[in-house]
Amino acid sequence: MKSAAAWGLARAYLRFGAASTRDGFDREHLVLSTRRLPATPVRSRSRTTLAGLSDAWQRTARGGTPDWTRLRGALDMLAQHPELLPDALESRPKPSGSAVMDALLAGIADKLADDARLPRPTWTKRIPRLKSEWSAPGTPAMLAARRAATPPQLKERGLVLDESSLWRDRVVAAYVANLTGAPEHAEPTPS
Amino acid sequence: MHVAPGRAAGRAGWPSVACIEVGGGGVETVVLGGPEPVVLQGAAPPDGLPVLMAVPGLIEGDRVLAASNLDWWNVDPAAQLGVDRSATLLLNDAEAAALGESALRDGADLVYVGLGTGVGGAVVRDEVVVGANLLGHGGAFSDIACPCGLTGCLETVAAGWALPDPLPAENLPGVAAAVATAVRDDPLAASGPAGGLVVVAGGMSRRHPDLVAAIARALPERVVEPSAAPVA
Repeated sequence: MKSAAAWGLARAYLRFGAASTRDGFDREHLVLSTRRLPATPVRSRSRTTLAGLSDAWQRTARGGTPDWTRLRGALDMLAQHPELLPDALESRPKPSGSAVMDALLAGIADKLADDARLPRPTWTKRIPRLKSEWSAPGTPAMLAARRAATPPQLKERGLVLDESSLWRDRVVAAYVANLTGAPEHAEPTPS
Repeated sequence: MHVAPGRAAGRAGWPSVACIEVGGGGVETVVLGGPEPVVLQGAAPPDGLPVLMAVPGLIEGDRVLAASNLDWWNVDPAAQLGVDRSATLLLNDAEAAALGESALRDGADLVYVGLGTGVGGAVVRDEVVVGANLLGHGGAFSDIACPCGLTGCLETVAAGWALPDPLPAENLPGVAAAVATAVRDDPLAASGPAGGLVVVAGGMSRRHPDLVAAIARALPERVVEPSAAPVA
C-alpha cells in the first residue's frame, strides 16, 4: 500500500461524503483543498431518512426512474450507522407523485425494520400495493434473475428489484471475500 | 488486472469504497469495506463502488489544476485514468494520507511528514487538516537551489530527488536533524501539546525504516511513529 491515503479518503467520505453542496457542506470543514463533488447528491448523515428521499424520483420520457445514487447512498449510510435507523424510519415520506417510488420507499422501510428486528413503521401499511408489477427494463433472463433476488418486502408491493441494486455493501462484501478467500461478514448477494 | 489481496486486517466500519491513489511511481486502487483491504494495481474500481481519489497536486473543484510529477494540467483525473465514473471525493494525496494516519489512530491529532520524491507536511486536528503544504519549502538547510525557486529548502536535504538512492546509513542523522528542525521551526507543526504525535511516512521512510528512529532521536520532545498504513 502506498500510504494511508485510502483511509483518509474513506474517513472523509464517511464524515462528509454523503453531504451535498446544497445541504450547506463547507469544504473547509474537512481539509483546505477538498471539494465535495456534485456527483452523489445524497443527504447528510443527520438527514438520512426515508422521508428525505421522497423526491428521489427522476422523471424521464418513459415515465421515471428512482434516483439510484441517492437511494444507495442513503442505504450505505444506514448500513454503516444503524443507530440512525429509528429516526430514519419514523416519518412517512411525502407523496412523491409516483406510486412506484412510494411503494419502493415503503418496501425499503419494511426491509430495514425487519433486518434490524425493529417494528415496521406504521405508515408503510397505508401505502398500497402497485396495481401492476414494476421493474427496471431488462431482458427476460435479467428479469427472471431479478425476480428471484427480490426481497419479500419489495415483492409484496409489486416491485421486482434485486437486493444488490440497492444494498451495495453486500455486493462489496461478497466481492472482497471472493478475492481474499475470507469468510463474508455480510449476507451473500443473491444472483 | 493483477489482484493482490492486502495482508493487513481492515477495520470494521469502513465504507465500501474504491480509493484510487495516484503517485509519481504508479497508481493503485484500495478497496475498503470488506474484511480486509484489497489492493488492485492500476485504476481498477469495481463496479458499483463510489470512487475516491488522492492525487499529488493542486485540486480545484473536480479537476486537478496542476500535478507536475504527472504532467497533468487542469485535467479531470477520472478521464485521465480511464475510469468510467467521476470521483465522488478528490483530495490532495498528502492531505488524504495525513487524514488517514489520523483515522487509523482513532482520530488522533498529529503532524504528518511525508518523505518521498518531495517533502510534504500537514497538521491534523480534530480530524481536520488545519495546515497543508508545510515543511518542504523554506528554511536555510543548504545552499542548494530548490526546484520551487527558493534556495536551501528542506527538500534540498531530505527529499528523494536530492538524495542518493539507496541512501547511505551515514546520511540518516543529517536528514533526521533537518526534518526535526523543520518541525520545530514551523509555527503550526510546533504548536499543540507537548509530546504531540509526529507521523513519518512516504517512500523514503518505507525504504529506510531506520530513518523514523533517527528522526525520533532528533526530536525527543515529540512522539514519532511510522505510518500505520497496512503493508500490502
